[in-house]
Amino acid sequence: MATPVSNPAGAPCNIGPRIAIRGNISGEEDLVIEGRVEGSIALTGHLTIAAGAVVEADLEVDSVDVHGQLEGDVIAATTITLHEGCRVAGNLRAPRVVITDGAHFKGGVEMEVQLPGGIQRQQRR
Amino acid sequence: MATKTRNNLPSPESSAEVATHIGPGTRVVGRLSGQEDVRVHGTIEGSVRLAQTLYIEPEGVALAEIFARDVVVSGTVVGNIHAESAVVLAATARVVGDIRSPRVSVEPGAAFRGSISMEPVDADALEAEATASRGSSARAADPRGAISERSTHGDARRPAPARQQQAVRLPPRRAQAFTAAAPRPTTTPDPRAWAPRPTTPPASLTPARPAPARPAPARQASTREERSDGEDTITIRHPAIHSSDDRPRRRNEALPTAAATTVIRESPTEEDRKKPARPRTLPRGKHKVERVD
Amino acid sequence: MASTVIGSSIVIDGEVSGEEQLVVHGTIKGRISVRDSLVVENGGVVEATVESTTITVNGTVNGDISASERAELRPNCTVIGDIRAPRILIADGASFKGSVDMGG
Repeated sequence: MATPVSNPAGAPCNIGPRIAIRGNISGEEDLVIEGRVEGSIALTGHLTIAAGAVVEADLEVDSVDVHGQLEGDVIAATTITLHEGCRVAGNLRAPRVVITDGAHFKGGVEMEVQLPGGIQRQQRR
Repeated sequence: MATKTRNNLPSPESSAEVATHIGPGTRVVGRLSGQEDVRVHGTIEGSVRLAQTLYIEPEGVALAEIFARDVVVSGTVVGNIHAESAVVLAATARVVGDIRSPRVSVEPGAAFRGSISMEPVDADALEAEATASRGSSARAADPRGAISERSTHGDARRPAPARQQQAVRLPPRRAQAFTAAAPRPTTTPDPRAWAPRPTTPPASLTPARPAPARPAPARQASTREERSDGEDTITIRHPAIHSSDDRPRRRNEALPTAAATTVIRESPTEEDRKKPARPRTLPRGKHKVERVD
Repeated sequence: MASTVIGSSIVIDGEVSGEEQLVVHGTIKGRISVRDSLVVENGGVVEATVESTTITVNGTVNGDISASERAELRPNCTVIGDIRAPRILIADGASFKGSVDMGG
């Protein structure tokens, strides 16, 4: 089901707007999703969820740019960026998370937070 | 008013037209409320309710529950943030807590841990904010507002309201006397019913009778039990057992009907006396009344 | 000089402490302890025990005042409470009810 994608031409792999995939995607290069994906995505590259895309999957990626709709938890090694107009529901975990004004997000965010000394982190959970 | 960016978000570098600011060496512990912008360079602990914008400057620290119209964080916040309009976490922000605001912007470099919910702020919180900033001390509306927000939030961790106390009305403990009594017949179809249990959910009222018993008389039995509530000893009522028209019933005689059983009203003390005698669960389909003294 | 200014619509219910000057235009209830100086402006209301080096009151103070250097009650202020300070100035027009202890 999951086959590593390799594209010698260098262009990022593109899942077109009229394509729906249900299953697990894994790979070692960048991926652009414009269609629909359900399942899970594991990538050591950069994932872009384009503006019309609908992704219902848990992501484990190096970094991700979300412009479309995403439902699922995201774990990124570097940065998660939610752009204006995106709709995201799920938990984000990454060293850097950027939420642009205009993004719609609901869920948890976990980044490395270094509180200045002497402040107790109140665990509300 | 503070200058805004083109997106109408308050920017961290707005001009200091604001009158209230808490200096870096100042610490406020308690409740702060007001109708104007506040810039915090120092420390504030407790709760903040503002009708305008709260700025937490880079050296500012807020260990507080924040309710404001806008919140711009460039410093440290440990606590939940509820904003009516927008929350901005600037590059130097460090926030631990939940954010609830229609618009949230997390700038690159900000550090955040918590959840973000863009549902509209609850009306309770709004009202609480308004009354608090009118100078009255924070009232119970605040936690109520926060809690109701949370529950609509779908936060599963929040415990359900303490409704359990009224949902489960513990029936009187019924079966205990039986264990003190003579050994039970082994033909008990439903031994569970007689086993002593500290708490018995109302559902177990129904098993408290021989399994084949008809539902109608059994229900009567249960209601009569509840009526004799309030004492500690067990009163087992079953029309087949306790009917004080003590004629022994023949095998094929039907159980007293529901109507009949209501007539049989024994006082609790009578029951108590009778109980230690041998109560029996009668074999399937056969009901016999035994005279017990 | 860093300072803390509490605006006129602000109400603080709790303790305020600090190293720098505190200027109060709003309302503070509870306790105030600032190292530098405290100024209660006209319209400011302080219902608290106050401790500072220099305390200047133009508004209302309902509580004990403890200044390590000087306490000044300006005209049109209202102070109800005890004052303890080595130097005191109560201007004409100030309204004051309480005791004064100059530590002599």
